[in-house]
Amino acid sequence: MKVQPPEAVTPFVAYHPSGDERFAVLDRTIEQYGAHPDALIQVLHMAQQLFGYLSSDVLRYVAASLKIPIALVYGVVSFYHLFALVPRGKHQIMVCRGTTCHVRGAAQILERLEQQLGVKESETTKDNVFSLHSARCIGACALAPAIAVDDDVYGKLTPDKIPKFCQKDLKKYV
Amino acid sequence: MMRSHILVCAGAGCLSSGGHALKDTLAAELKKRGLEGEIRIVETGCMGPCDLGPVMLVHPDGTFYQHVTGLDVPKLVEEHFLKGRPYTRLLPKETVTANVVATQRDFGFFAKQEKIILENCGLIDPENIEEYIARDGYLALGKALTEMTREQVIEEIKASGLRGRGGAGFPTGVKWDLMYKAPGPQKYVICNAAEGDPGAFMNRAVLEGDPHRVIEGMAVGAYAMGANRGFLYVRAEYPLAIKRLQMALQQAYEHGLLGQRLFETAFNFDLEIRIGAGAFVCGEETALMRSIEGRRGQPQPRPPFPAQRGLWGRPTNINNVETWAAIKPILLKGAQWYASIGTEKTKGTKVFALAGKIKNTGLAEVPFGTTLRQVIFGIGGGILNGKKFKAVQTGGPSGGVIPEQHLDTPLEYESLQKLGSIMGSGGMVVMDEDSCMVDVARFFVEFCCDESCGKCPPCRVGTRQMLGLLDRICRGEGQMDDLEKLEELCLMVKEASLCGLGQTAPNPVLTTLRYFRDEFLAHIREKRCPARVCRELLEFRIHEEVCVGCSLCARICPTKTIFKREELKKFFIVQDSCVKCGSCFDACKFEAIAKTSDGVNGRTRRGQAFEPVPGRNMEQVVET
Repeated sequence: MKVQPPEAVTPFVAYHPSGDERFAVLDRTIEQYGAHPDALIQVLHMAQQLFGYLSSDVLRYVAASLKIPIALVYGVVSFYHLFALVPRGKHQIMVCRGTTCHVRGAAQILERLEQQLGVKESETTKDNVFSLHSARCIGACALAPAIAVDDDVYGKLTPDKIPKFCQKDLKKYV
Repeated sequence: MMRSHILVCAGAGCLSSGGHALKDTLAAELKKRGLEGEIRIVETGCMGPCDLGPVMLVHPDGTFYQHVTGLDVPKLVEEHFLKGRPYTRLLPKETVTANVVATQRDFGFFAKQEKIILENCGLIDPENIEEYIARDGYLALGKALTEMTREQVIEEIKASGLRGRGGAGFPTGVKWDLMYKAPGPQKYVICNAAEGDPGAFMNRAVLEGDPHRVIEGMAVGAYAMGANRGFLYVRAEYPLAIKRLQMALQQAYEHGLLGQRLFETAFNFDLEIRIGAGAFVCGEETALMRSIEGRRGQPQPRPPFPAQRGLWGRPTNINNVETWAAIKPILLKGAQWYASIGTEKTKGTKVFALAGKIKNTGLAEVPFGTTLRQVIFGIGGGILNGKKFKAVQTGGPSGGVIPEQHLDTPLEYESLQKLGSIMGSGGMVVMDEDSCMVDVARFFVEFCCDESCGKCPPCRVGTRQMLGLLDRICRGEGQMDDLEKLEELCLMVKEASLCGLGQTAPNPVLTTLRYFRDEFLAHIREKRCPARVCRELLEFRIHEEVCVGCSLCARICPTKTIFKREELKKFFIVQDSCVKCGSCFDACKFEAIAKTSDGVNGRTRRGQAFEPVPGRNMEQVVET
C-alpha cells in the first residue's frame, strides 16, 4: 500500500451519531494530525484513553475518519500490546517482567498479586477497578522488582510485601 | 542572590521511591524558617544512583543526601542550612569520615565516572529551557548554522569517531554522509527512543533529564543532512519522558529554536513526537518507520537502507537518543577532544544502566575501554549481600551473558562481540549465584518469541521451538540431544532471520551454552537446578529443629499442604500436593524453611545453608 507523505492535508469533517462528547475530543486529535492515516497509532492512543478500550464502534469511527480500511485498523490494534479490544478496569496494574525484575523475583510478585486480587494475568477484578497485566520492562530496573499502577511506579517489592501493598497502596485508587 | 541551591532528583526512580512530595515539603520547611529568599529548590533529571532515592544534592558545597523522606526534612534543614553542617545520617555510608565534609565527588559512584552525555542530567531543571541555554545550550546549533557548512559538520562528526549508540556501532559520520548524498527534496531525521531492551533505562534518563540536548542534536543533524522534518519515536511506557519532551519542544518553538528560519538562516526544522504502543520490534529501524507511518511495526529487508528509501519512501536518518545527545559536545569542544576519549576503535563515552543483583544500581557513564570489572565492582560496588558474582548480561535480549573469567575485557563493540555478546544499548544486568542460567536463557527466548513480529518463519517458528526445548530442560524433562538440537536451531535462526531481532535472539542461549554448559547438564542429567530457581526441580522443607510451631506457613499455604505433627508441635510439608509457590518460604520468620533442589543442600530465605530434613508424603501422614 502506498502511503501519502504527511504534507498533503485534507480537511476533516466527521460526527458520531450518538452525540457522545468523547468523540468530539477524539475529533480534535484527528484534526490535529490532519486526519492523516499515519496518525492512526496516536489517534488510537487517544481513543483508548477516552473510552478505556477500543470497541468495534470506535474502531469503525477511527477507520472512517482516517479514510482507511477497518481491516488495517484492526491489524494495527492487534499488533501492538498496549491496545485493548475488551473492556478493562479503571486502573491498570502492570507487573514488570523485564530481565532485572525477572532475576529478582517478578514471577512470585505476579503470583502473589493474582492471589490477592483474585484474578489471573490480563483479567479484571469483579468490581472493575483493577486490571492485572504484565509488562515487558517499565524502565524502573534500579528498583526491581517493580509494579506500575497507571503511571505510578512502586519498586523494591518482595512477595511478602504484596498483601500490605494491596491493602494500603491500592486502596488509594478505589 | 541565592545562598544555596538544593537539587532534588525528579527522575522516574526517585519519584517512585517517594520523591513526589519532597520538593513541596522542603519548600514549606524553608518558608517556615524564613529561608525561602536565600535557598532555591530545583527539580532535576536523574542523578544516577537510583536505588538510593530519593536523592538530593546541595550546591555550592556538593553535599549529597540519600533516602531523604518527608520526615527527615525539618532536621535536615535545621542542620544543613541553619547550623551549617552536613546532616550525617543521610550521607552515603562510604563518604562519612571524621571531620571531612562529604561531597558528591568523594562518593565512589560518581568519582569514577566521566560525564559527557549526562553532564546536565541531575544538574539542570529539564522543564526550563533557560537552564539548558545557560549550560551552552543551542550554542552548537548556532555554531553549525552560522559558522559551518553542511559538509564541515559531517566531517567533524566523522573525525570525532562517534559510533551509533543503538547497539550496532555503525560510524555516525558515515551514516550522515550517506544521507547527505542521497538525492531528494524531502528528507527526515528520526530519534529512536523505543528503548525496549529489558534492563536498559539510559535513554529514559536522558529524555527526562536533558531533553533539549536531544532536540539540539537532531536539529544539527537535520541541517547537515538536508532534512527539515524530524520525529521523536518514544515508547508509551515512558509517560514522564513524553511529558518533558512535549514541554521542551514547546519551549524550543517559543524561543525560535525550532520552526522557520532558525538563527536567521534559511534552515527550517520541525520536530514532533510519535508514541509507540508496546512493541519491542519497533526499536528496529525499518519497523520503527512503519510504526511512525501508523502501520504494523514489521521490519523490511535492507537494502534499500533508510538513507535511500525510508519514511514514506524518502531518505531518512535514524539515530539513537544517546547518539543525538553526543552531537552538542562534539561540535562545541571539537572532534579532536572527543576522539581523545575512549579506545583506538571506539571513541567517547557510553552510559550503562546497572541493574540486577548489584549494590549501586543506576546510571553510570564511563569512557570506552573501561573494563567490566571496573564498572561492576568499582562503580556498582559489587554484588548484593556479599554473594558471588556469576555473570553479567549485556545488550538485552540481543546480547549474551559474560562470565567471571572475562570480566577484565575492556568495554568496546568488538571485544564484546568476540565473547558472543553485544554492547547493545548499554543495559547491564548483573547475576549472582542465585540466578539460574538455563532460566535466564529461557526468559530471553520467551521474550523474543513473544515479541517476534511474525513476518519471517525462522524467527517466528524457530524461537517457539527453542522455547519448547528450554521449557523442557527447565522442567527436568530434557534429553541429552536437546542441547545439540538447540545449538542447531540457534544457528538457523541467526542466519536466516530477516531483522536484528531474530538474528540476535539466539545470542543469550548460545552464550549460556558456551559458558554455563554444566548448569544445562545438571538440569538434564541430575534433574536438579543448582541455583534453586526452576520450580519443577525444587522442594521446600521445614527444619524441625528450627521450627517453633507458629503455624504461619500452614495458614498462608494456598493448597493447605502444610500439617502439624501434634506430638512435636512442629510443622511439615506434604510434598505430593505442594505446588512450590514459595509462600511459606517467604513468610517464615524463623528461617525454618529451606529450598533445595537435590534434597541435600538447602538454603533459607536469607541464604543460610543447612541440610534439611526429608519431607513426608501422604502415606506417612496417614500413618501418624
